[in-house]
Amino acid sequence: MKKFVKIFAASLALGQALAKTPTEVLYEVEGLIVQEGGRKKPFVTFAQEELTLLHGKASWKDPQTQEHWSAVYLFLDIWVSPDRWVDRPLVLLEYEQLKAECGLDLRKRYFSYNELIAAQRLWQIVEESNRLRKRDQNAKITALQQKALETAKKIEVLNGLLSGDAYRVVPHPEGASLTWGTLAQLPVWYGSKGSEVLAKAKKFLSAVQQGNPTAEQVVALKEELKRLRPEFFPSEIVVQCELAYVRWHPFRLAWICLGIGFATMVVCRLLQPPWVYRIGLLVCILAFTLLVWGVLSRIIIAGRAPVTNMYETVVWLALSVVVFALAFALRHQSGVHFWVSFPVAMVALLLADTFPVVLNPSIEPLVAVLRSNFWLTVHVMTIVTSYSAFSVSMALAHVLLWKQALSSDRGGTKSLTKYVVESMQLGVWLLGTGIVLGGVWANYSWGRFWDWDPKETFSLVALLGYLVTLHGRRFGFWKDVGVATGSILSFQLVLFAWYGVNFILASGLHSYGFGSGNDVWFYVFVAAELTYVTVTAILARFRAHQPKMS
Amino acid sequence: MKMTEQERLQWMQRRPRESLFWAIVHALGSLKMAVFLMLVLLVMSAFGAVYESWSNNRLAQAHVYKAPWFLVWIVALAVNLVAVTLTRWPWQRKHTAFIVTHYGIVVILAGAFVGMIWGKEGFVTLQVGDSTRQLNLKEKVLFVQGLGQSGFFVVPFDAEVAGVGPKRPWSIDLRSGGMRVSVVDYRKDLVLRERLLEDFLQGDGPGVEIQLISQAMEGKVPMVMVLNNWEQEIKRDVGGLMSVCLARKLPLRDVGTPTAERVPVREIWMVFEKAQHSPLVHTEDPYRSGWWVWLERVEGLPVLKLRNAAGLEEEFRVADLQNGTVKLADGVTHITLRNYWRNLVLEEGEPTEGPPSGYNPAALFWLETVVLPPEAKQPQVLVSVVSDSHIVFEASKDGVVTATGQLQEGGTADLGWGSWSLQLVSAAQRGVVVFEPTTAESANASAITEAEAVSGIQVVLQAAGMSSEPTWVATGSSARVMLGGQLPVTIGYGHRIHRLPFSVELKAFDVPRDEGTDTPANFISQLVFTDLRTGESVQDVAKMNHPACYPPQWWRRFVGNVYKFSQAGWDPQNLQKSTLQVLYDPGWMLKWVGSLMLCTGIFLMFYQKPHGRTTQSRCETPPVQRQQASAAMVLQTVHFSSNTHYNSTAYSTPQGNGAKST
Repeated sequence: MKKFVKIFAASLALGQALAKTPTEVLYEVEGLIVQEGGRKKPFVTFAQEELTLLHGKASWKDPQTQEHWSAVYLFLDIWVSPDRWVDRPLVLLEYEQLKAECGLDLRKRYFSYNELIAAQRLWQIVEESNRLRKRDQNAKITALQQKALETAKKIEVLNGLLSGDAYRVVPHPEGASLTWGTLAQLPVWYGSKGSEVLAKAKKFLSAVQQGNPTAEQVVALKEELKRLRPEFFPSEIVVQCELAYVRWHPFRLAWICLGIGFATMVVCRLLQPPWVYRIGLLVCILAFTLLVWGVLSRIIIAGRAPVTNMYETVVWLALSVVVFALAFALRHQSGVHFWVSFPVAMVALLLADTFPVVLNPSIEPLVAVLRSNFWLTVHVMTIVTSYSAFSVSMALAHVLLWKQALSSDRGGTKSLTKYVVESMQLGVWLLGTGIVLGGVWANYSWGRFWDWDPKETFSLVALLGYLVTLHGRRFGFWKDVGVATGSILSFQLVLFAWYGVNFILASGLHSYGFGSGNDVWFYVFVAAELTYVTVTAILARFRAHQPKMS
Repeated sequence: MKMTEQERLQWMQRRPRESLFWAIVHALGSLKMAVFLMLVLLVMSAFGAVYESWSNNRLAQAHVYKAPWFLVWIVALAVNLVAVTLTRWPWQRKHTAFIVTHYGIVVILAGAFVGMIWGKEGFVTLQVGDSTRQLNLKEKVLFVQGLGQSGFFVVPFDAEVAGVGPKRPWSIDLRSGGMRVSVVDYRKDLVLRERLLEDFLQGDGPGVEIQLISQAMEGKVPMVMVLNNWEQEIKRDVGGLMSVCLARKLPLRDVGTPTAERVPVREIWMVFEKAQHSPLVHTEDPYRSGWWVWLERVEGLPVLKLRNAAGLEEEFRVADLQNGTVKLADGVTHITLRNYWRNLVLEEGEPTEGPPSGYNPAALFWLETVVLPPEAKQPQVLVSVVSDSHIVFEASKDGVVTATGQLQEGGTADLGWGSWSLQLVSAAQRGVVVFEPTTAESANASAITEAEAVSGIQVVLQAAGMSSEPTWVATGSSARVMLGGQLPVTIGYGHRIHRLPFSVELKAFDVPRDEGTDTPANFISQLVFTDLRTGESVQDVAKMNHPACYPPQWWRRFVGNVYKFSQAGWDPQNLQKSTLQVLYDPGWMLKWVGSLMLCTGIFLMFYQKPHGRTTQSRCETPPVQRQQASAAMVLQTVHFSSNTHYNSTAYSTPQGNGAKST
């Protein structure tokens, strides 16, 4: 009876406005360890990854007050007072057809938990597609069903947050890899000791509610939690490394650095040509350092090579493009390698930074088939490195075609052709080796060497494109323009092998790389490239046949 | 035969004109040919990948990558590769990289062909504790048994690849008796329907096959139940609507007899006048009373209103309740007012009467009643087998028997609740459940939505102007087909079986998960291999990325003379079952050697110092030679004795185990 009245009393106490949490408190909360998605991560990573999944961005803007909420602030608030958030538009849903089908407002991009829960048609579609999947795992489902399943997944995540189940901060007392618990588990698992920690945690949370939490409270809470089972927590170095990575965004710094570098080079070219090379060199080394920092951080955090999803391969591409630019530029004392590589690397990093939904930056455990495998690492790294050699070649080919077709300054085409071929050869060697290594790995882990999987097939198709280009040149079928054209066309095959197979064909065994992409931009890019190649090649041919003017 | 460089070049230019052999070699090894072969291969492979995304892996393999024309193309490429190396004959040191690279591809291709011809690839699906020496090869076959003298007939046939459908039947004439088997349809969405058979020798206990028919919902729920020898009764739930119970004996009771006792329930209610729809209710009993109570103001006085599920409504003025417990009109429910506040406020967490200026009426009371447990309320049918053709049944609902009686095979009886009736399809005293494939349309839709789909073919047997009924055969099983009054013929469809020279047993299967999730971190099968001649056993473990090998000698592993068992599939619903992909590939070593040659070859070709990419070295070759030389470089283009990944398909086709067929 008394308990009942207490519950009733607590239910009346909710629903008061919150005061803002001080920045230094949020800074400390960032380092709170949460178990989620198969690993233990700092609160800031947890919040940013989950918010990106839900919302498509790592921060949230209140549509009423226009106030910006950082992921950490938002997630702390959801933890403290979930009731405030059931009606807030947190879930991104852009697919028009699904919105229309479920009777949701077509003009809105974001929807609240309650709105989506109430959309009965959505749950019907989800149930239908689950049934379809259950009957036949390979059943092809429509885009509508796919989006409905994705949305259901988001709602499940949000449900975990609103119910508090996702805030798993308490280590399981019996094993490092067992599921952690919420604060409510403290007294269950740790008895009176747990109750003490729980009291402190509650004090902090209600302080957050009342707007007067202190950084000391968070520090103390983190220590208390860790003291329960220190051996089950990730080491302090790893946590600090991850915090630095999340706070500083080395990959973002790298593209900014490359962008500024490129702009400076443009300015310098107009004023002081000899400086272009030196600035390029400096920027290149700086970008290299930043990228290495980022990649190393990911290696330390995940404990594996960072080449296992689309995002990581894009970043790896940028890194190896920078390395190749440095190596080729030093070897030939040429500025052109900087000119072409910076935009390539910058675009790659920019894409990785701006499309978290397509290129998922979160660090997740590998699917079982990719785990603890030396050959995998070598195979993927080799292939992606070959892609970057090809992209350097492709970028140089653009310059070459431009010079041949349009520029009044046609000097240096011979060395340009040499550079195009040089990086192409490097790519062919890497891709050939990578494909063979893939066969070796597949033979080892799947029990077959080669089976015409779409990814395998298209990497072969791309390789054949380059082989035709190189063989044709070797025996004089075509010269500079032909080589440049071949380089650009074959690169479209590379792009298809890399992106198209996963996002457009979306079939085959390399299914761990799948996702939902935006195909339109891919087609636009390919169309633009084809137009460029056609126009410049025709112009170059036209010029070549014109009598030389003095 | 020592010749100078000059002589060599002259001979190379001269020989195609002088000798037919060299003319052919130079023609086959020409660069134009190579570029043409590669370009066409590029288009064909790209088409194959796109075709695969339209259809599926198996069709793409059958119609593109493993189609004869594709193989011919690859052979042509191999010929080109060999010929191009011969065009440089006699070889010099500078040709090393060139030759190593091109022969690397040839060696890989050779390995692929060896694997394709002499290799074996297939899969085994094992339950923990099971042992087998049957390997299901990738190839599908149709087999016919019971054709008089000739006995057994097996023919390669893949319904999916052949594109069999109602408009494209496929048939084959059998050698004996002028018989003809026609496959008239192939479907991937068949369901296995349960049927009851009487089997006096091997059957279990009594069993029934019944249908629950609802006229209002125009639905039929088919159901087969068989008691095991040790079971007294079994119960099935029908979509949460009702339950059906098969028992050995039935207490036959008259219509109207109660079937369950009512149990007391006490609820504590807190109701608010200002929030009529959100009362707080608390009970420690397992059931709810079914009453809904709210506080209202009628003519200025607080009134407690009550309504129950049956629509019964009552109201009491709060003032009248102050005197103690009140009994409601249904005769079993009592309410006792514990407290009433005119202005409820919270003071230090306790509800208290606030200042008279405020207004927030609330009442706290107990509600006591007796209810029927929900399970007794639910409609239920009890059946019991009397003989092999009739049963007795009893239907009950809301705690009362509604119908009872006897049913003959084919008979129907009303159950006394709405439009539902019970039909007896068949009864058996020693019944077995068999699974019969059928189309989803002909089976009842509501019963099969949860079932896993299977694929299968529909066959018709024809002879001497007679035709059998079209019969469905599920993939991986067989069915008996009757033709006129003759003996039945067994027709089966599924993977070709290869007998291994040893047996393999699954001792344990383990799926560890990622911390705090359900995502599998690995799949671990503990296997025991037993040599059938010596009886010696060896243990090995197949994990993700770590196949188990048999025979165990290390050198066999090295040269590929070994059966490799790789983890390929699992069933989230059945963690005792593991699917392993099995490969025996004698071309294995060739592939490795070829790969190594290829990698070093390309590297040397581009980066070897004296004859690398430098322009001088190219000028050494006369222009004519340049036109004629090399060809395709890397070509992985083969049939590296492939395998589909049986990750899930393996589970959609029951391998005959557990699914007996009629």
